[in-house]
Amino acid sequence: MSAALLEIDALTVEFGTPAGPLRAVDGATLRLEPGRALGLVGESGSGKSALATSILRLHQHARLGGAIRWKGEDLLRSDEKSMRKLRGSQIAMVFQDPMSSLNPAHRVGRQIAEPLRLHKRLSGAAVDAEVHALMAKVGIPDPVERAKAYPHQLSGGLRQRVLIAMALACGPELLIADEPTTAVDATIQAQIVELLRRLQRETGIAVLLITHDLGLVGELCDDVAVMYAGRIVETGPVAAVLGAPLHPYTAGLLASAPALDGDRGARLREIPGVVPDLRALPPGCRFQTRCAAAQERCRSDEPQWTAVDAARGHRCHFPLDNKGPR
Amino acid sequence: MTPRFKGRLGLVILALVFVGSVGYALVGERLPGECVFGTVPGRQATVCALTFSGLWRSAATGLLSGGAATLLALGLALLARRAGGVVEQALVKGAEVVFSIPDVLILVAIAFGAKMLRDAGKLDLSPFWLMTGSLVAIGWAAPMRMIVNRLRSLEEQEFVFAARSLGATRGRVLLVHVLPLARPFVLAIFLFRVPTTILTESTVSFLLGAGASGGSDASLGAFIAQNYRTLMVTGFRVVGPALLLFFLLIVGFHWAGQAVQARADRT
Amino acid sequence: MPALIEATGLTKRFPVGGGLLLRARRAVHAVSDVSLAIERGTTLGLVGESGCGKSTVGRLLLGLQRPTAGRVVFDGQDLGALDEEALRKLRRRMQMVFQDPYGALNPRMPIADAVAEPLVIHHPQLSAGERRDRVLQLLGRVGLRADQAQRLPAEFSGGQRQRIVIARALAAEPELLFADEPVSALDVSIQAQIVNLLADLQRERQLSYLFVSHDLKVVRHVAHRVAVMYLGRVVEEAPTEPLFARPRHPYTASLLAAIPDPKRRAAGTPRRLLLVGDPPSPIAPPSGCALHPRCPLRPTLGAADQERCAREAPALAGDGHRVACHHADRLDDIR
Repeated sequence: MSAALLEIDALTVEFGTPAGPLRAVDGATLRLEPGRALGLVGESGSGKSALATSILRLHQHARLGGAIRWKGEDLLRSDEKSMRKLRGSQIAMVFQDPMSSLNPAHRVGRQIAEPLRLHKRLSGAAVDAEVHALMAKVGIPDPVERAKAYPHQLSGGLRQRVLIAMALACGPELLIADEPTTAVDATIQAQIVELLRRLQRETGIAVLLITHDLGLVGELCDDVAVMYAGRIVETGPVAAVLGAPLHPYTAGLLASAPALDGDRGARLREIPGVVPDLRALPPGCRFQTRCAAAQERCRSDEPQWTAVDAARGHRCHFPLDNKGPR
Repeated sequence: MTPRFKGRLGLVILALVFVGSVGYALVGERLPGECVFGTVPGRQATVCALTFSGLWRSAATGLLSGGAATLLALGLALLARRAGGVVEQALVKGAEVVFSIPDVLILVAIAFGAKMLRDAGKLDLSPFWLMTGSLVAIGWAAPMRMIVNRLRSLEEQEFVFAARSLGATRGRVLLVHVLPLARPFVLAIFLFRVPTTILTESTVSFLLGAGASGGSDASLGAFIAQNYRTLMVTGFRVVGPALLLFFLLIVGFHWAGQAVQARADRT
Repeated sequence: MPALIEATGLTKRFPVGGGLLLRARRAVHAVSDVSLAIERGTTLGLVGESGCGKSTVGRLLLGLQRPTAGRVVFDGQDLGALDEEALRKLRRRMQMVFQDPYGALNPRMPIADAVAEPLVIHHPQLSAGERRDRVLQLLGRVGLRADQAQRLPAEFSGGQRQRIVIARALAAEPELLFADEPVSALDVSIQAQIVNLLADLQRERQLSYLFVSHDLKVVRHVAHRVAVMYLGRVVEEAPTEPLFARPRHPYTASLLAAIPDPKRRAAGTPRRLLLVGDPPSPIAPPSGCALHPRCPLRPTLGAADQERCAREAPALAGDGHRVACHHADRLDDIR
């Protein structure tokens, strides 16, 4: 087993709110190998975005516990200066909404150049050449012209590509993509997905993909981690988890989304109830109030993490055995 | 200071002033000893008596005129939104025109009109009602425009569209959905209007000569205006209390208004 | 049996900019020459990306906006011929479910009052008690409890608010429901709840739905017929199964190919039928066929054929399965 690129160990992320502290992530453990793509899947309140943004320690007012080891070094013990050197150069992030991530007052060429100026200390013509090369790499037509445009002059798809270009500027080893396709149309989504696949193949970059779309994870990722109410409930290789999920929540998610080849007339399998308020969690397993297979033990004991093997694990007292027909 | 704290403080100030003046009205005259500030030069009355009567006058004028101006603005705004189209445009334009005419001209016109009516024996308005009317006349236009804009933006919310898709009439939408949401905004306007009106009143009383006698029918502002010269002679004895109360009144309403506005902005 | 609602040649243009001095005023061509019909008790799915005009079509069908051209006939009545008051009364029979459950409810109104509103408007003869009974019945039907009736919308989750919006729509006893992206803002596990609820209600009450969505998987599940829109026009319209199994328009095929598919990764194959470039602007639509600058079919055509696409807008043709494409027969070559 190669040395992990990113190791998250029992991470807790707590925000202070007027109504008291809110623990968005409660003990998450993940591993990401170099060149691999990990999908972090969850719905609202799962904590996936909080986890992703905590890697680069972007929240100034969050309290972080546990450890985030980047190439062996614990980022939670690093000072702000070291974090700044890391951000944008070794670890880059792409956010959901391109319009709010780009500065409307600056031309996109200048914004793509920013990480180059900051980290690589390039200037002048060298920067321009690099910017155009990056834009071409992410598939922006007419880079020289487009670099002079302002964000509002570009379409959603192009803006997303600009964000990706900015992220790749310094050749990072990890790309964190937070819902990169949610805010764009289906046909643009397809373009972005193809771009990400190509970049993975060509640069061997590791990807942490945050999404609620299991299909997207299936297409882009090698491994997947499923989050629910602040905890990771299942991890494993994509084919294994999507094909034979161990945790009832994962199974529920898979069953509740209509499939393109599914039975049109049939009722969708619902997960009843709603995600619990993180400040008023049910006793025992966090999912028990909505779980069809919940038993007595689930209501009193919170399940600990069970590692099935090196890559696969779950947090459930009674994991699905997937042996019978589903 | 947070808006909430300011608002609370403002209300406390107003309450104290109110209690103080009621207290004086009830027992002041019967207390042994003279008013500690003495009498007003050239008058029979004590500083205390005139100051407190001035306070009542200012407060009454402010509340009445401010309230009437706000209600008039609200009524016209609702009418405009309900009618829509040309009528709304005409009303808003009208408000803009009135707003752009210098207040002085409007006041002079009103004073002239009142004088004509008095001379013709048709109608003799007391100075108080003349003052109130004038203040409303110059105070309704700006609030009306603000309320119309506020109603307009509230009407763009999706649940308003939903109500229309349910088949609600425009009137129902305004009264049931939009107006309740506009209440904090209108209340804030009223609370800001009161101190503005009180301040304006002092200026207006000069122009119209209301409260010119400086006697017990003078507002705080008029009283200060009539007797400011005593500052040079007797210091703050005569006008000091009036200035203080004037200041507290203005600040109290203003801070309360800011607190309500902060709440209105949150919707 | 005639359709419940039928639209013929619907067109809607919104003027944009242009003051008194500009003679040629620009316009957003939101909807162009759209003809659709919805039979009683069925669901018509309307799919397309942002800017295709699907939401506008819905509003035109419900009479919430007046078309620039074309006609909408609901149960034999031409909406354009009705005055404001008659239209308002007709609204009772056509209701709407919105995309954003957070915006569609008045934040200061207890949900019981919100659900009761259609009853107050259209059935003023009901007593308060009768109204309350109906409201509780509706809330119960959508899965909410009586003790929640006096709460404010803020106290409910997105899925619950959507249920309240549905209950409110049902209070009017409509025949047609325009669901405009009703589940897009909800979590996947909640989407299933709402989709199931809508399906149940359709069966129980013989409701007709216009189901607008960008999510093809959901549309496939709920719709009996599907119409695909691109830049204000319907490019393909057919019963659901045939459309998904064998789409005839290149745009439909691209949309289907855009859906993430884990099998592609396993096989290592790149996506086919990728649309190049960006969606065009509805203010300055391309000449001829609106798709032609991006069409995956175009590179395979000869010069004369390509020229035709750039010059001539194809008409929606066919019966049962309608397509608007000059070269639909060539689609199989690039699948």
